[in-house]
Amino acid sequence: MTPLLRPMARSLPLALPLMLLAAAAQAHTGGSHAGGFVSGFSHPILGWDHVVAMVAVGLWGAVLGKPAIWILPVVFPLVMAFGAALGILGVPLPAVETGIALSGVVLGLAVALAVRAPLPIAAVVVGVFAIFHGHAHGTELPAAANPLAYGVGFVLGTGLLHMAGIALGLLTAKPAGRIVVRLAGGLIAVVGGAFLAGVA
Amino acid sequence: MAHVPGLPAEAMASLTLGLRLPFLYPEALLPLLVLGLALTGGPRPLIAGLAGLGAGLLGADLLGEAATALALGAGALAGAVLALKGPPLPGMLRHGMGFVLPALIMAALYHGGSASAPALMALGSMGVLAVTALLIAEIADLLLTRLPGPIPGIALRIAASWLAAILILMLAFVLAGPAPGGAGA
Repeated sequence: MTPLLRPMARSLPLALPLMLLAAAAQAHTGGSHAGGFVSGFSHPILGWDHVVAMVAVGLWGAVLGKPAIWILPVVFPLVMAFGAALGILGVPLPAVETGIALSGVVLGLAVALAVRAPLPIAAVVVGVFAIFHGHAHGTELPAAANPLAYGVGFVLGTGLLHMAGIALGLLTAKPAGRIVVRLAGGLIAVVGGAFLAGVA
Repeated sequence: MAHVPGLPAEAMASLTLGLRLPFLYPEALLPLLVLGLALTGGPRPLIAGLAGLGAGLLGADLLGEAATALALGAGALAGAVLALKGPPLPGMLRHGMGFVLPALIMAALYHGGSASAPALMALGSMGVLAVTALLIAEIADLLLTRLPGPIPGIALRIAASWLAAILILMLAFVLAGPAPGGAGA
């Protein structure tokens, strides 16, 4: 971890619970998903299956260290947007929900077990799962009223979840923090497993 | 309403509209932001850029409606390359982007009307596009050279990645067309 990132390790993890609470609160507005920034921003943070996977990307990046800590969050939005484009254009993709749930299990286990995969492999794993997440969002929102506002909100929402994961992952600088991060990975894997088994 | 061609007020109105135009349309603004970031860290391809602006204006009607999708697609591609490779980009790549992006941005702004657009309006757009791209590149250069550590470079790559992602989404909305019963793209 670079010295510049250390202040983030102390402050940004505090944002995670607030963001998750916000996600839970917004999940029950009952409003429509018609277009715009709010729609784009809320989409990645509305479902726990999406939230845990994106936080796990940041966590895994932090576990892998430099340069993965920032390469994975650079790769994910690009590939996720590509997946969303496929969904918007109506290109079918099989087993999307399974892929999303599996992403929680795999990425959560990678964090829990502190798997030190080579960067290209980690990027491919993250990229493949990003397509499933993006496709789901794209399929659900074919008619956003304002594409620019939706796109900005969508990317910001995704990016903030990654940052939350990275910030939590920076706790790995301390022994106790490493345990917390690995426990968080385990929790993510359990949530992913619950979605995979259809009990969530 | 009185309409007297050639009055300074009308010329000013054309120029002002030309200056504002790139900031009114995301298919121009977003690739412009990417272009500015892509020019960071090396000599600016000024001749290629000016040639691109001219070519874009001349070819705007040939490209027609496709210019919008092409500008978004080229911006997304350039942003993805910058995000994955990081600045500074190789000279050939920078020159290529320095020609193609201004050309497609101009074409996206003026397709369907480049022949009838007032010269001052087109000149205003060309000028503001060039100045904005150079300004972004200068600011990014300043941040990269003055701020210590890897954070500014990482921030630039993340910005490029996010811009590319937004451009990909916008391109998809454009290609999908307006949704039945919705406001559409």
